[in-house]
Amino acid sequence: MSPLALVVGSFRAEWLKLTRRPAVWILGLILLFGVFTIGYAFVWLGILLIERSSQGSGGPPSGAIAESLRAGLLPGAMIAQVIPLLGTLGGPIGLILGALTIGGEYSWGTLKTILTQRPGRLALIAGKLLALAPLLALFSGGALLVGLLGSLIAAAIQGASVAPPSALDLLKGVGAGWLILAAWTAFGVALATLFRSAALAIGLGLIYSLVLETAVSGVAFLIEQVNTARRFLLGANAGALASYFGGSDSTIAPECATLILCVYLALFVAITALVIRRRDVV
Amino acid sequence: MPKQQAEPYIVTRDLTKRYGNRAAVEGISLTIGRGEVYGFLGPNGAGKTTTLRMLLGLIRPTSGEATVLGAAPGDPAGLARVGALVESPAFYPYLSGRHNLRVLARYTGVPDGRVAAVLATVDLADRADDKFSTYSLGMKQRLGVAGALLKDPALLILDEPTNGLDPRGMADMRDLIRRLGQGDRTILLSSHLLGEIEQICDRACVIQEGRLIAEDSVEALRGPGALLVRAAPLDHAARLARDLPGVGGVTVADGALRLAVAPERAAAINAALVGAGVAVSEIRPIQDSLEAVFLHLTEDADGAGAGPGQEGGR
Ligand SMILES: Nc1ncnc2c1ncn2[C@@H]1O[C@H](COP(=O)(O)OP(=O)(O)OP(=O)(O)O)[C@@H](O)[C@H]1O
Ligand SMILES: [Mg+2]
Repeated sequence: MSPLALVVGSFRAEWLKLTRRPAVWILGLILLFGVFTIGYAFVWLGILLIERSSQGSGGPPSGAIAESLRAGLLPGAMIAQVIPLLGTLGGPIGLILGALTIGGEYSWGTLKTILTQRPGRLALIAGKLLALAPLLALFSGGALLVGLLGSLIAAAIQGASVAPPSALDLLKGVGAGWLILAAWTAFGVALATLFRSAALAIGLGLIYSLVLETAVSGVAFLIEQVNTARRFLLGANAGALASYFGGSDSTIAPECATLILCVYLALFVAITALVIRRRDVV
Repeated sequence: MPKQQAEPYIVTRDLTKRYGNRAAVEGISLTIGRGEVYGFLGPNGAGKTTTLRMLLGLIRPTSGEATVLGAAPGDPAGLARVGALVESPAFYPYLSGRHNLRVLARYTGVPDGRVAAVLATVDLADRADDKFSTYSLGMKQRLGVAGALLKDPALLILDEPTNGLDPRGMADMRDLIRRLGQGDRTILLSSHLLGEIEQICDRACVIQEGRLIAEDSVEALRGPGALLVRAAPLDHAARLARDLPGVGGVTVADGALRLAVAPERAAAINAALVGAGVAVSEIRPIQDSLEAVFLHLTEDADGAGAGPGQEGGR
């Protein structure tokens, strides 16, 4: 069997494992549910509350806010509504997914079972990462599909235009969502490989993203060097790319954020491959 | 032993694995030929699993070399013809037995059809669609063996495959391994159960504390056999027994004599002792003869010097 055939076999095996694992679908559903509730249901609720309270006071500013919120719910604005959510939800979801995929192999001892079968370590990890790629495209595409659904409902209620964004914009959106998810997933994979454990990887990954990056952003206003360093952080770039699609300005240009996320993706993949290849499996 | 001269399937030279200061395996050199059913015998912590892991490329030796089927350990080219179950069987708990094997079949590149075949071989077909997490220990063990058989391997490496099985399951598993070992297939079976090695293997080695302390055919390792004699007065009986023809050695344990002698000599020995005025209350062959040899070997390894098994075997 050629090396390519080994990678293909490993990909097919990993795909079977991923698609039949309940935890994977739970993560996917949480992402879609999050997009729908935060991106659509909560916003709709907000509009209703604003309009109800403004019936009493009748001020024009609250009317304007409600109008802009209503516009955001329409199909034409779905990318701006969904992708920023992938920027926030995508981090933990990707991290957990990546950590579970490799952490399980360590905690169940299945790494040894697979390696004694055939594939060799690099083909094994290549197949694993290649199988995660289309899954994340499904996640990202699914999030936009949920956005489409939510916005069509909103358009029907409001009797507004149902014209969706152009195919190119949709593709860009799916691509950006994928890249954000992929960088975080690779982070989870690399951490779980290093620590041979999903739990520790998820914990440390969350500490990094919630505590460390938040702290750095907090002092970035005060110290110029910290601000420069912040521009290279994983979460900052994922957030910048996402908010670009949301139409808000970021200090990091979208091209720059895309490039840095790609570098992170490559770096995490390289770390994982190196460690898997070299380390004893017991 | 003609089989030993056949094409070597496993060759190791001074294989050593150290963890910190402790050597888990130290300087093991083995040659196992095609078609052999080879036993790897040692107590807990002897280094059996560590050696097998090195042969499969799971861990790297600290020093020394190994070749498996002409390839470096862990090389996909060699692994294509090796089936292995190392330590406890490890599978995906959320998948059924059948799907677990399908995953392995994809990694290995064998057609899905093999899955049903190996499930039947280990007699697990009727529970194949239950989740692995619901399996009993014995079923998990059998699934592990099924996974090792997927490739219809030329070399089968099994690490204590009867672990956790009940007596019936053990007997079935041993039958299966014996059947698998017929023909050209080579089997490397590790065990701390001497009876198991004795029942299944042609040749075996004994390792303790990471060192190889004996290697020979099972018959030679077993030695000429032994008799247990209960007699009074014991010290008189021991003195007499030492001078009887055919008796290799006499040891006293638990108020009885252990004579290294072919069990067929029991009647003659009984007659001689009774004739000399010794009251003999029991005389019988010691069943677990390899065990006795093994105990001697391992005691000697603590002290240094050749054991009776080695003397008897060479
Ligand atoms: N990863 C490891 N780190 C440190 N020590 C280890 C490691 N793996 C094995 N050892 C040590 O190496 C020695 C041999 O262990 P091994 O598992 O090979 O024994 P074994 O012969 O398979 O025993 P058992 O019959 O109990 O399975 C033991 O002392 C064990 O503690
Ligand atoms: Mg062991």
